[in-house]
Amino acid sequence: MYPEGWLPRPKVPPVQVEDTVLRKALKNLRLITLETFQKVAEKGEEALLESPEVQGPKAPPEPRRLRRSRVGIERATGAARRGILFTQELLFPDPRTPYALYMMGEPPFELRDALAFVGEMGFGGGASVGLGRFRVEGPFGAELPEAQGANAYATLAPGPLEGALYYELEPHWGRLGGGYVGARPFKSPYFRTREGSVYREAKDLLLDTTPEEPPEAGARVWEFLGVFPLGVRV
Amino acid sequence: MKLKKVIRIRSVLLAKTGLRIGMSRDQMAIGDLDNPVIRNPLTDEPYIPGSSLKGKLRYLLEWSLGGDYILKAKDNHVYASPDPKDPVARIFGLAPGNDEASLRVARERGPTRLLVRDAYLLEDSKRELERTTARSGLYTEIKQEVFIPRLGGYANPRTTERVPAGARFGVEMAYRVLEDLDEEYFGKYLLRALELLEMDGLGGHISRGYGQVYFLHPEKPLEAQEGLPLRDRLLLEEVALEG
Repeated sequence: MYPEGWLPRPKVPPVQVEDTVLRKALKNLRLITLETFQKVAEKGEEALLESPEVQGPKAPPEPRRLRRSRVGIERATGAARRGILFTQELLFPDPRTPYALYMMGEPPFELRDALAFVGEMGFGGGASVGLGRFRVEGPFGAELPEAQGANAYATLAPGPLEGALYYELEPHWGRLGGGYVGARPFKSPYFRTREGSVYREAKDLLLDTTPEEPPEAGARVWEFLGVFPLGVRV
Repeated sequence: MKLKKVIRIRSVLLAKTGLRIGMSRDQMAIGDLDNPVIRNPLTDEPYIPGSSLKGKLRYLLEWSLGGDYILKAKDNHVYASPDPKDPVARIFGLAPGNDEASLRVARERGPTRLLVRDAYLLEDSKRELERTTARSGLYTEIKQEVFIPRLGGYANPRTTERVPAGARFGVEMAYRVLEDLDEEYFGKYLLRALELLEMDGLGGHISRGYGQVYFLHPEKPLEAQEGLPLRDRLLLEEVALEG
């Protein structure tokens, strides 16, 4: 899910830049517009040097952050309880910047209704205290940019390490278990590639994340990393 | 156990007296307010966090039930009942302990039934409050209070920001019904907690007049609602999910 009109920058072979200001502008760029994506997918990173995200005033929307202080209440006195004063950092995306969720193919259920229900109930932590609500609009048809004569794929979602051609890694603590969650839900650290990583083929979408001690003898735990492929030329 | 329906509760929360839900901040400028209210960082408008509203409802219900809720909460943050039918844990939620017995109770109890949204200023109320902007804070009043040292008697002033009496916020809650018992608890405990809130107050300084609130039906004329039972001042919509 990305701000409408923006996609992750595809990690195609990097362009060498000597100018420090330009190099820094390139280094920090994570999201690019659909038009720039199209150019990068076809011509490589050289197209970024002329893009309005690097040269002009166009900047990717940044989610703002809100710090909200919360207190635990001492039941006996009604005052704030000592030691239970904490600050949460919340993402507070600007409602004027809608986010787009892309989908391919036919879903097995009414996706819009399901999403609307999730938005109504609250998504993420703190839903019971009012956080995480969103409104669903659409569905709308979308033409996502792809290179003519593509010979590789950039992913819009985190992907498996296996088969990655150009990529950036991110360590991830997976809370695993599903039906196996018992007294201690197990967590396992593993690497996966970030959005925008490039693959030669979109396959092997299952990542083995079985912990060192499997939840039961012979059991394996897999995480589905559904690569959402957009064609690029490398 | 499955999600049978969601009861959506909508109402207008009227601040009958000045309402103050404070915020902490990292830094303070010279001449700044001592005690600012919490504001939406995008619009700078004061709002009521869902956590404040939900926390106060829970606290009042616990006090009305008394006993273990108060006495045993001394040792822990809140009283963790071993009974899966415990109304407070069921309605307001409870993080389970990390042991088999607590998890078994938590699984039997199921998820938190009540979701309380953040409550934002209504448009017409905002327009009314804009008139205060010239002489006060943005949508708020700056109330000067003084502390009187018992010897000496000179005034020691402090400034407190609060939302003025008459402000109206849109309140929305969702109540999940997973079993028949939840429907019973809705009338017996949740509506009771809302009634207690009207008799008590919301936010800080309620012992000196702040925070008296009153629920109003969002689609009925305001003036015709004074004295109506609480249930008649809430807009309850049931969304069936079965089938």
